[in-house]
Amino acid sequence: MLSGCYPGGAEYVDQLDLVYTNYSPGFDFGSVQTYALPDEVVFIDSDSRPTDPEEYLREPFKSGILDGLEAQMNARGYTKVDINADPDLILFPTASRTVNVDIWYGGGYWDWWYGWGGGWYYPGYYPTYVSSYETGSVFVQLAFNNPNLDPNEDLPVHWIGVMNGLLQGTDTQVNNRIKSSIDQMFAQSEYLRR
Amino acid sequence: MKAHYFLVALTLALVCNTAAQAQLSQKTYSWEYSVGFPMGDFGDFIDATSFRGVAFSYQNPVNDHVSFGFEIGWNVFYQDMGEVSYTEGSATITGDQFRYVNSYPLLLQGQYHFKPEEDFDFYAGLGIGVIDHVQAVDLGLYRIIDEGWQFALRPEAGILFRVNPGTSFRFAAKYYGSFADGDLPSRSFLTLNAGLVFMQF
Repeated sequence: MLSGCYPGGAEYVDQLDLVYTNYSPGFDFGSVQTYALPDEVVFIDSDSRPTDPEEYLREPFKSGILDGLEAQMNARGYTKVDINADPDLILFPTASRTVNVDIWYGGGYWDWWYGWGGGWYYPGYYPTYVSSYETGSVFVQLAFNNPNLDPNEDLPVHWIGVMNGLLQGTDTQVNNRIKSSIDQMFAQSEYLRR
Repeated sequence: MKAHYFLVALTLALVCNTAAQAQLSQKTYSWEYSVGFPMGDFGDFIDATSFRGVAFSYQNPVNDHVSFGFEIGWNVFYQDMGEVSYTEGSATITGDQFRYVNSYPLLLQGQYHFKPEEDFDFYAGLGIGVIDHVQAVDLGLYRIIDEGWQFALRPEAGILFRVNPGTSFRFAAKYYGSFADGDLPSRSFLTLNAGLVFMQF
């Protein structure tokens, strides 16, 4: 193959940001009312394993993600409650700076907070595989907190949002890009509302 | 004085005749700058004029009006699509998208010259061969590349303007009709070319 010439292209780092969402078509997002959001964002570095001690994302990114998610969920008609108040939905935000990341099909990164022994699964759809280098990603998983779920069963994740981009710029610049990407996750997920 | 006029006229006649014979009997090669316009399905994919193009051709005359040869070229098409969202099934992806097609024509061609003895020589031609299209779509940090070698027919019309016995300007319009293959839809395009033609003495 001839390699070719590639003029133009992205001039600014935010032009490399990507937002991906997917959801379970069979789930009625209007039938639930409450959600829980953790106080931390799990951070996965390039060599992190689910069995490692938890690492958390630092400020201002943590607040940027959590505040953005809370504002969007509230705007969609959901009510935030404590994790112990039996919420209908649970949001699991995770950030990564990795070479390759595959956080799907396992809830191990979140055992410390939710306390169940199973993994998670994606009813009726498949999340994309995320491979990156020198980049940052924010993953948001929205799980249905089925009260009848056995602690050893997989948790059904009915919506996922992924933001991926280059880790360049000041904290403020990166945080602004994270916030606008979270807004975009919801903007392209109109079904996600009461 | 009349003798001088006669000598000048004779000299001009000889020069013109020599030039005309050179036009008819010499091999030529040319370099052209090419401006490209995507057409049809290609125009749906990239709707922007390409100002990055070059073509080289070599022609061998077979009689007073007809020549055969080949052409190789390179045209680069590009468009910034801005931020776009794509939905497939339940998945949606949003990001800035940049589209590229690098096209490499490789053609055998024939040309018919209507007035090869004159300084303005109109000609028509037809090329046949393949075009290698390398198509890239950039989305976020990812690049998706597809490549297709497509059968191509390329009609052409142009004019040669002789500036001296060994050199002419060429202005031409060429339509690269490129047929869809298994990997890519048709990637046909029109070009307007300007260049220099050199006689090979």
